[in-house]
Amino acid sequence: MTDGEVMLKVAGYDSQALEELYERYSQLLFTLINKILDNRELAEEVLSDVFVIIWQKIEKFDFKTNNVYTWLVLLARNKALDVFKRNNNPGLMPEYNDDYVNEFIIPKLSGSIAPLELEKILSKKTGIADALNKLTDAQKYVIDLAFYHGLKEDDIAKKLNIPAPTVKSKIQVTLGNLYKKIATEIN
Amino acid sequence: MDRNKSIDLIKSYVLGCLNPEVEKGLKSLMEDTENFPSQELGQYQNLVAMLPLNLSLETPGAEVKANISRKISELRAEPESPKQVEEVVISDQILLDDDEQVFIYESPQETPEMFEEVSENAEVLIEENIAAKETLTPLKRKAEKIEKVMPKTAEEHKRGNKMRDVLDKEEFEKMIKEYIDAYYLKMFEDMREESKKTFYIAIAGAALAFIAFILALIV
Repeated sequence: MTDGEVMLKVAGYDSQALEELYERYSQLLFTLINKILDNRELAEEVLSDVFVIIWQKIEKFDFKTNNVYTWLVLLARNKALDVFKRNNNPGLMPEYNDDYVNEFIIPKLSGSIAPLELEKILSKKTGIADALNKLTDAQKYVIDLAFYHGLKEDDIAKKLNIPAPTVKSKIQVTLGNLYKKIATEIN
Repeated sequence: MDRNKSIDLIKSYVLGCLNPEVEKGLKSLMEDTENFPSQELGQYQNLVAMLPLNLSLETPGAEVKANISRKISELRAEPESPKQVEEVVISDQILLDDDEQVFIYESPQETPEMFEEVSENAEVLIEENIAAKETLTPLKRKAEKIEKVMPKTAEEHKRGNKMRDVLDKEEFEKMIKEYIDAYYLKMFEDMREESKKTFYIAIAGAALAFIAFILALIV
């Protein structure tokens, strides 16, 4: 059964399908969440929240593009970063409600995105990891601050004490190069 | 906006590091611009989603799955959920004392169809279901034990006891009255009988004394 088929069953409130999705994705999503929160216990709690969100918001998944992998990874990232920010800036974050989840937690993927499935990605993992490891330390650090710490370009510039345009430039060059390398690895 | 400029913004956007004002502008572009590079947006979204592949995979604790199951069950248990209205079944029993049992209600597995029929008077129907099942419970159970799992039934049970107490009191008073009446009337009757007997004995004694006196005069 493909990831897309599993999601379709989840959409039919099939709890066994949700369990199947958990079996497939829990390791990857937990690793990502734990990387962001650096707290195993909290990461487990957030992981369970992510699967509850999947259950509750399955209608937000686009079955036309059917990209389960990217949707789940970005959902987990958004949720973990939100928890991280709320824990570190209590009172400064907007109220967490249904509208907030729809706007800031549920990923909005492009209508033209190509489908990705975990099995296919894992089969290419070594090549993708090689491409990532070829980044310079500075490139890795900027990507790390943005993706795992949720810092904005201005925050990264302040943190690294470099001009904001330099940060923008570094991100554009890094992602551009990475895309070429990974596209080569995947294809 | 220039296509290349849009793609540069997309790279920062997918990493989540665009400053809020710029992000807002880009989102407007996505919605309003016909030839927005949405294919590139998708490619870079897929790219950033691959970043975690560089991490060493960790396994979450076994309790996470149970936690998810619990949270979803809690969602199912919300009063708005129609499945509680549709089917309430007795699924388990907890043995209390030898002659006391309490039934726990468990909702069945929800199906999509159950979501299609949402009743406005769910609360009433739930109460009716519980009341209907009430007839299955043993009469001798203690209200305070039942209250832990079935507050409404316990309340009714307590109210029943209270009613019974009132009836018992009336009955008791009636019995006491009857008993008092019966006992004292009988006592009064006995006393009257005793008095009558004494009276007749006295009369008889007086008559005997009178006869004796007359005989003595004759002799």
